[in-house]
Amino acid sequence: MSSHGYTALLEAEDLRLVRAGRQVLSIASLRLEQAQIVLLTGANGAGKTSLLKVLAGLTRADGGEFQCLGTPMSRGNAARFCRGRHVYLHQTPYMFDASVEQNIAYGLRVRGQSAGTRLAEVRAALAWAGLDNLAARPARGLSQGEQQRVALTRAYVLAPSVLLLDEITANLDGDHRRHVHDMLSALRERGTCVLFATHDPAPLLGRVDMHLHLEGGCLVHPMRSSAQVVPLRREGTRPDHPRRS
Amino acid sequence: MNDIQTATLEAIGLLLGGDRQLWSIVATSLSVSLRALALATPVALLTAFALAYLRFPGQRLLVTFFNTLMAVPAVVVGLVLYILLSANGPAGELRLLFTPSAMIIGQFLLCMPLMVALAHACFRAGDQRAWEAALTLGAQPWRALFTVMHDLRFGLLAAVLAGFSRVIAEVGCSMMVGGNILYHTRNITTAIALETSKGAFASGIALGLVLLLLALGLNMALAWLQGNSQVSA
Repeated sequence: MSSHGYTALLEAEDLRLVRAGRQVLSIASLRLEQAQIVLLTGANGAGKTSLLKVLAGLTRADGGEFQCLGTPMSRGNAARFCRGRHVYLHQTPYMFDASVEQNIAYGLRVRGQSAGTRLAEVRAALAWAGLDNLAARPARGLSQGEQQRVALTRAYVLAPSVLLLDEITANLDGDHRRHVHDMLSALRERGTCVLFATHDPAPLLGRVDMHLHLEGGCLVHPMRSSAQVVPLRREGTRPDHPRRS
Repeated sequence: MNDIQTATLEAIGLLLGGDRQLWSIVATSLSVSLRALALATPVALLTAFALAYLRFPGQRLLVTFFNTLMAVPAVVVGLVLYILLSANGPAGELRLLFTPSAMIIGQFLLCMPLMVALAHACFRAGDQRAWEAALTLGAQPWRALFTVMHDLRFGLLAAVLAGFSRVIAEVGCSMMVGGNILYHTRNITTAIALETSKGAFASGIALGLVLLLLALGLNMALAWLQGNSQVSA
């Protein structure tokens, strides 16, 4: 338990990642909590993608102490724990060669959920994202903005505790971008911690709870983004996660 | 010209007439080659995936090794296998020489490297984000592997078909380790070689026609599958 009285979703100390003899990440301390939107900025090559992939459990760190939901874990176990609970979204999303509906159902299917419950949850998610009319379309035939919304919905349906977004609005026009930002706010309301890497933080600033800045793989002291922070309704905020099977 | 015409007509007669000897030869070919392919396909796909997605020492060397083996003549594989399986060879105890099993081993060795090389190229050209997307959505690694293979299925299927073409059409290895024994190890290609040397062109042409029809059927199936995928994409 933290000093604020909340169990952190993930705490990492002295996180290190080395690639080809070069220190890519060296982070003294990082803590992710429920129902936050965390902004992650940094120049190209500062290590944003590497950090997101470590936090997603897709890359195993070369050093560091990890605690997941307050339980200390080895690096390998932490990575396995994070996969599937922390969902990573690519800058340009990868769409499986299937329909929109099948794409969104993927995570539920690999969890062995029955076809009946799966369909109900997928329908609800499609309605949430306003994608009902695209359900049967081949996902690869959609525009990039629509694909990004499918990717977000594909994550949403799993009720991830952490959502790791790698510049997902970089290639989107104004309307799609606003739509994605609204989806992120809705996810925070459900208790998801949204870590958003971006070059262009301006449109998000009104909604950000914490701002992290990476420089050469090091986290410049995490600061609460003071003036722009939307006060969080912590009291009585109960994350409303659908059941995970 | 007339000779060829007469022989071809006679060949079609043999095929349609259900000549027992001829069809046993076709059956041997199919059973040996399909079994070799069934054994080689999972090995080749897993190896190709590991070479494309994992990082380990000697990886590049292995890729070069498989690319080189891809071009080894069938007779050389036959020669090596013959030495290994012959009575005085290190694996002579197994008494596999001149059996369909020996032919299957030979054809496995022939098509596996080709399929590794082609499937590796296919995995490399494919989108590496597929693997990450599947994992981050909670798929176990084996499940993610199937997802990646599903999305690359046409390229991988072409690799498998290339492997099949290599083994169904090879003569050298089957001749050397199979021994061309009628109703046992005589397959289409070794039979054609034999019939030609006897001057029995009709049987040779008939068997050649079967090979051609097989190749045509497989390629039409592949083209049909690919065409369907383009329509739905």
